[in-house]
Amino acid sequence: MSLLHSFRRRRKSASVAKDRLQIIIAQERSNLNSEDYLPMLREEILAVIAKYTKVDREHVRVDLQHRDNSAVLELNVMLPEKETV
Amino acid sequence: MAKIIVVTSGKGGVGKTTTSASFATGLAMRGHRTVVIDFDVGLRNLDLVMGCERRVVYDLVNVIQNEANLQQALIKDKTVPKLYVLAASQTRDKEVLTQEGVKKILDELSKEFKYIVCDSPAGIEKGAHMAMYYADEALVVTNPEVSSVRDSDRILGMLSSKTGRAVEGQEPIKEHLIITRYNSNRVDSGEMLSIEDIKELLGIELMGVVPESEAVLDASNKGQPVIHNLSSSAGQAYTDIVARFLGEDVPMRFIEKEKGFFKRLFRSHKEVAV
Repeated sequence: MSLLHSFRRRRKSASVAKDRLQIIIAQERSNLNSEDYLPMLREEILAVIAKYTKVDREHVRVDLQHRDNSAVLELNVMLPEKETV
Repeated sequence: MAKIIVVTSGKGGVGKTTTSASFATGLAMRGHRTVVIDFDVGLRNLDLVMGCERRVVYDLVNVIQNEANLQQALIKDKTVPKLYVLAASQTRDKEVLTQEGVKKILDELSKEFKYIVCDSPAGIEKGAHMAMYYADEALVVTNPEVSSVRDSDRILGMLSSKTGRAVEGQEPIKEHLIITRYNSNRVDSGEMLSIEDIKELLGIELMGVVPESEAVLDASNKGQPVIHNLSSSAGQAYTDIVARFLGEDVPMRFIEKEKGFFKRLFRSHKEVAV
């Protein structure tokens, strides 16, 4: 199907609908499962990192994982190459 | 013990009441004692679709507030024996629906009925929450359209986290997908989300596809659930849904473009196999 689609010049609207839904549903599911403070925490961490380095927003990941009785907060920052301010 | 089935969707206007009416009627036609309850307090419509609007004396809220007993509030269907309707209140707001009040009614109905069908209001507020709280199974009614699919996903989230079964850690509610207002010709030309698309997005098992049909409006005009109209595609689709719910193996109909049926049937099998 997807091969066929790529040969067509204009994409059919149903396939656009599906792609948009896949993104928004995944996002909303993860929001519902995450802690309320996580988006704010992420923003503040980003602000601190931005104070010292030029880092792309895309390269900062804040995840909270639950394992049995404990939760692990994982902070993943990819710094740009030799570009400290 | 009765089995409690909630008919829900999140979005309004997708066919919850149409589905509740036909599904409950179908179960009763198959010989099971069935009651269908309207949870849309303030905006009741199930009575109209079932054709019993002039016989409503007492309603769900009257029973919850001990102003009437269940026997006074239950409306017996005119044509199908073993089928009863419990109307919603038209005047009060949804906040009068309490968890304890709903439980009391469902417990009492459970003694008398085999199936209790709860017609949920739209939205994710109190009325919708109460309609799903004690459910054993859920029919999630979805149109092949972006806002309906998104809202159905929200409702699936609620079913798996905010219901009695979820809170008490029991076996989760069985979720069944009902796709309504489906137009196989538009799907074929790429203008409408397909059954496979919706199944993939929502990740639940498909219980039936009801094609867009003029018979649905005609049925609600007359106050006769569309399942009575067996010459219509929608009536046949609901008959199939009831049979599948009762455990029968009924092949899906109305899912292929109207021409070239066998060719497309073969192709869809190949896609499933991949």
